[in-house]
Amino acid sequence: MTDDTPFLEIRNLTVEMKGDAGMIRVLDDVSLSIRRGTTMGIVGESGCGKSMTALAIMRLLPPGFQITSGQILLDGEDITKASEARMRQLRGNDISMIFQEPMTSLNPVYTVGEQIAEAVRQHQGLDTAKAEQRAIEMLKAVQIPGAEARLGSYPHEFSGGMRQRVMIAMALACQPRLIVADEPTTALDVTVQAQIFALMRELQEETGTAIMLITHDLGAVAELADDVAVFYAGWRIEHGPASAILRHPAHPYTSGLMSCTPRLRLGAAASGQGPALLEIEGMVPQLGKMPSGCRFAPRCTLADAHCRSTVPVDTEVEPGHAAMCWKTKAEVLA
Amino acid sequence: MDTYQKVTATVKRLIEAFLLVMAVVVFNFFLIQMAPGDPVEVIVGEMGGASEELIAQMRAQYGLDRPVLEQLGVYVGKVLTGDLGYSYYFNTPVTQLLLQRLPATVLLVMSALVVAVVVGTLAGTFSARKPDGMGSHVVTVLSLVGYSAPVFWIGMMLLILFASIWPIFPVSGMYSMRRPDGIGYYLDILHHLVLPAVTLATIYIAFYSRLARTSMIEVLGQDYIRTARAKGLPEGKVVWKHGLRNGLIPIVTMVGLQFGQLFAGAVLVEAVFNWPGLGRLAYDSILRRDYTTLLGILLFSAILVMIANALTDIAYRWIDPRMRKVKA
Amino acid sequence: MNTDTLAPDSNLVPPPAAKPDHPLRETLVIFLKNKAAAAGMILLLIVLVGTIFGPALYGVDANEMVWIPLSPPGDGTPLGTDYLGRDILAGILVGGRVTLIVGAVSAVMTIVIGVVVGAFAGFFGGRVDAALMKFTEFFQVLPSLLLAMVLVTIFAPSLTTIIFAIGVVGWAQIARLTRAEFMRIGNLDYVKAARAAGARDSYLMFRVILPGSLPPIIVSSALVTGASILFEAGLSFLGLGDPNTLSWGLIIGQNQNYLLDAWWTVTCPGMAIFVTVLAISLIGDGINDALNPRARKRG
Repeated sequence: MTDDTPFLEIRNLTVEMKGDAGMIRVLDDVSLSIRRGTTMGIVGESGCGKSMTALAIMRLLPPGFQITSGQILLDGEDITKASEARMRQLRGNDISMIFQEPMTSLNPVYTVGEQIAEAVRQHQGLDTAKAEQRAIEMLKAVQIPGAEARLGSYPHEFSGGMRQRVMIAMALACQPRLIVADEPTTALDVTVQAQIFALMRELQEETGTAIMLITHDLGAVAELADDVAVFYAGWRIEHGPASAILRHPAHPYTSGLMSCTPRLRLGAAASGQGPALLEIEGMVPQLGKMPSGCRFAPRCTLADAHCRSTVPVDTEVEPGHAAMCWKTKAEVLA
Repeated sequence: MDTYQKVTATVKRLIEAFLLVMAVVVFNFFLIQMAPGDPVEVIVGEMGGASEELIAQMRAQYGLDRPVLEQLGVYVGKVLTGDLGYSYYFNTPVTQLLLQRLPATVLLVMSALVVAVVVGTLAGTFSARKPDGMGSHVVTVLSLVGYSAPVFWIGMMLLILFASIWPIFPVSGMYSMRRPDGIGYYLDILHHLVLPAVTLATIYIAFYSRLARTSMIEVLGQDYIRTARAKGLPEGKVVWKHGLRNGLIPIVTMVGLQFGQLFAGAVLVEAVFNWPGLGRLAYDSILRRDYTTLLGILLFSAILVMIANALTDIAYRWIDPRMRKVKA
Repeated sequence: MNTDTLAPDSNLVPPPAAKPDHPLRETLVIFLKNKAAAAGMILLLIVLVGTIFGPALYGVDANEMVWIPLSPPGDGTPLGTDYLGRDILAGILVGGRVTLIVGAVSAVMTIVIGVVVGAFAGFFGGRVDAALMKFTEFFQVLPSLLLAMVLVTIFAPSLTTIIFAIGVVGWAQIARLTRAEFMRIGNLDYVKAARAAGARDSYLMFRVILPGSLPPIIVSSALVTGASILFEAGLSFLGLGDPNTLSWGLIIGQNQNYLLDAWWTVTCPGMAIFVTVLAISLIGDGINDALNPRARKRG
């Protein structure tokens, strides 16, 4: 079902936050695109701007945050300029979002059936009975046992993993063309994570939906993503096909991240490359206190004076694979 | 949950409620003991004096010569059969007196409560949608005013405005001198009800709008509200369906807790508007030092408060499914 | 909660300001910068000065007939006269004394009872807690103003009875609040450490836990003081005040029958009550904002 025309294309997106001393940039000139039926993994530490990207796509940025420049093209339509009414048509229908906190993202006072069915009623004008039928199908699709009986249950009667399945059922109910999944498995234990990922992959194969998977876990990316974008301090510092990035990262930050992910260290750990790789030294710079050159320079072992003074440019290392780094030479990093 | 659990829980609650009422009854008895003078003295005073033998005979007749504990037993027994004593001032059994006055107070208190909760919740919710907006500041200021003004004074100010300067409402009572028939009878009561109910509601509108504002600001920041928006629901549904039902939870809790205060406020309002309910009765009993009636009202109000608490408990469970589990 | 949940990338939200070196001073600064609270302070100061020095400065005896009964403001007297020809302004100036004394003393009583009951319940838990909470529930079931009325009626109206009656009826809320705070703070590490070090219960309760639980208690103390003043006004309005001492509620109650003909007799004393309680509410709000700067934007 894949198709090479991008379904979602983000061009030079900048998001700023009102701070005490003027606007603070939380997302700086970010571009990326997702093709139909594929999964894009967005990777980075918390605070890098990946969740802001998701909320910007939904146009649900928290109060005080706003898109100050750039475009978000959904099937060619720039939704940064769409009216609120148009956004309401798109949300839940064309773009759905799965939030990271299944425990608090479901409304405690309504049954899960109602919470799934209401989006269907809203967008597809189905009557109550048909919407309920759809809710049952969705609960079955996400493999909740006894779907008919569970329809009338309240969120507190489900476990965390089951709630996240409900969230996914809700997101899929209107067969959206894009699902934005913001750390969908962070709150869940490892076995449940694996089940949820398997489920998402299966559903994608059936429906051909595009998925934007936001995560700090490169393991999840390795499992699900076709393409990857790595974020650092509001910059998209590397992007390209998942296989290429995982095999030979072009940015020192990405390779640092990979060494933090035990499943991906492969031979590296065995050959005894030292404990220093277990985590990247230093802290993400504070917003509004960004270094003048490369934002990663203070933590980068390769950084020199040039890195510290001049903002790096996006450099292609192989077709479709680029990194924002002055030191990007495959042989240095491999 | 199974039926057995449900029944045991209900029975346990009923027993607790009964014990609480009994505690109020015993407390009442000791207050009566402490009140200056006893029924015999009152009667003797009304008769203009009596002989020593007659007084002693009457004391024996009322059981006032028995030990305190025995008197307590007799009193509790009487209360359990619905006998709250005899009002010598009103010349009526207290229970009968209370039941006569009950409907007027229930009408007043319930109207005020409904107005206060509905108006307060609406105002609070609207202002919560824009916490820094104009409406929000208005709610904050009005609730401060409502908190701070004595309820009887608000009633008097409304009387001056709407019964004197612009006389569109009657000054006092619950009925006109000439009581109209049919539907006019009810309209007449409604006409009389407006000012007292608005007076009593004012302070609680202030209270509930502030509570609703705080509660809704909290609720509208929750994750499930963002989920509702992400579903593409219109903002009205997000706020009034997904937000309000959650925001109501603390409000309902407060309705139960505040019911007693509302009832006490009714005493002042009924005194101002000469509304023929339990509050006015309390006021008259205070003026006449009619302790039996006054204590009857106290006991009665405690029972009303407990009934109100039970009702809010039901409402609470209906609104919040998480509360439907029986606590072990 | 809401800023955190709205911004999943919590690092994006600027870190909270570093803890001030002098929390008390910081709180005081926030409080003093609050315009509403400043207005409250000024109003309260005016009320206090008026009731303390007013009667002597104004020099009119509030209990004497000084002018034609029920004459309007400006017609011989600044705020008019009541049905007995007494000067309303003189009455307001002197009547505030009872109201303020009763309000203040019974508020202190309410708070002390509430804090002690709540502290014992929250500290010892278990059976002590269950028993004390049943006791509290008992007082919550009885409408407090009505109970105060009954107590004053039975024990004959006097300043002492009124203070006592108001003081014993309204503490249930404070007790619940204190209990909750004691339970919360009692489980914090520094309390556990003090306990492990062998501190005595009384020391733990009043030297270790109580200071930590003071902020919410102080805030609700302002509410309690306002409520006590309103209680006093209500009681004297109903004729349950000390009959020999003029108070704001009493003036209103005595002139109730003339309110439609002589609005000033009830309007001005009522305004005095309103302004006083408003001043205290504003100060209470200011303290609340100063103690919880985070809640200010939302609450």
